[in-house]
Amino acid sequence: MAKIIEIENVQSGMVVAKSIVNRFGQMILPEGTKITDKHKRVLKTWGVKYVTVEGFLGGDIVNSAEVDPLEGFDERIKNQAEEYLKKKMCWTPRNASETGMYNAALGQIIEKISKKKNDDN
Amino acid sequence: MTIIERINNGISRLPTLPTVFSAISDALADPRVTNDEIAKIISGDQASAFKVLKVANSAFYGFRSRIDTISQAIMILGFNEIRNIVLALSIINLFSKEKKLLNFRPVDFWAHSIGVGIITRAIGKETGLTNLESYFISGILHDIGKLFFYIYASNEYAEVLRLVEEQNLSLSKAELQVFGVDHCMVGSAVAEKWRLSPNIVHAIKYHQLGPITGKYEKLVSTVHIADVFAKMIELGHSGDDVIYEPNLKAWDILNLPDDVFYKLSKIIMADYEKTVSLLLSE
Repeated sequence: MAKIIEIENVQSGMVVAKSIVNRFGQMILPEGTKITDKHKRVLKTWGVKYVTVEGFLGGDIVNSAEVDPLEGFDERIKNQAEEYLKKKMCWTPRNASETGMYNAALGQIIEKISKKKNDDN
Repeated sequence: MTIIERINNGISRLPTLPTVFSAISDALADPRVTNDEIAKIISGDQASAFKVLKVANSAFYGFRSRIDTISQAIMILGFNEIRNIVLALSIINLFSKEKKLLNFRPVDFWAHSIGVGIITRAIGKETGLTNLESYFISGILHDIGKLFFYIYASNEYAEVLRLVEEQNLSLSKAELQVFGVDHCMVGSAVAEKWRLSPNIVHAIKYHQLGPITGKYEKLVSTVHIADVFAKMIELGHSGDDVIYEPNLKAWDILNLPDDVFYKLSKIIMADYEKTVSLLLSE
């Protein structure tokens, strides 16, 4: 059975149950891929927070019940954050380092916006 | 007086750094100076001593056990880092943080500077360097030229800030239009006047262009990237809303793992909040 788990809890050898795409719709890891440590690094670089994996080795997958798959996934806030950041940047990421920096910054801005929304409510 | 004459005049009239800083610097010029002698100089200025201990005990340096005395702090952090803490505290307290000029608020300016200092040190650590002495202070002082303009040419600086606002220019571009020099050049002149070490002067001068001179490349690249990241995650406010493009050479020099910012973000945010309240409190 497939389960949604946090990227931190993904272990090498787990199998991707649902293809992972970035926000531009480009494929990062197709369904059926056996995840390695290198994959994990790339996923983190892209700011992927949750992954749907096949139940593996018949064992339990940690923390799956506590994870809210919608957390950090609100598309509206994500788009808002991205628009906001892009308006100030006069450039687009040209290499993996810049992509990593961009995604980390985006994560911070998403958090800020979400926090502000929560405070306002 | 022309603007350039006024800038030169301003630099010659800059306030001197507090005696405790110059006393430490002079003492450190003597290779046989002892830990106790330096501790005595700092302890002689109670306000400084108190703040130095607070900074040394902050999460920023991450020591588990408490540092209770200045001599202990020197033993653990080293002479030069202690001198840098005193320097940072002195310069931040040298100018008033009260007034604001249009969009330029000294408190936000210092918050951005402290943010860059923290990121500079965090990235420096990631590159595997063990000697990070000038990293924090270079980050803190990288934009000091802006503060100089704001204090010594505030009428013209209001014009600069208006240009930034109306035409969405970077501060540097607007400064060049109005003054013919930008905060990087003026900042390095200020640092030279204060006789700060050449690597710090260099980092201030090239923080925006990145490593183009072949000198102090690691430090310059680190401050350069840290400045961009601080603007992206909005630590404080540096006076403009333009995030400039990093110099690609900086990435080659630093050779950082791709997920380094993801990894450091949380620590940076936590250190930032604590350090800002520590350094900016009266």
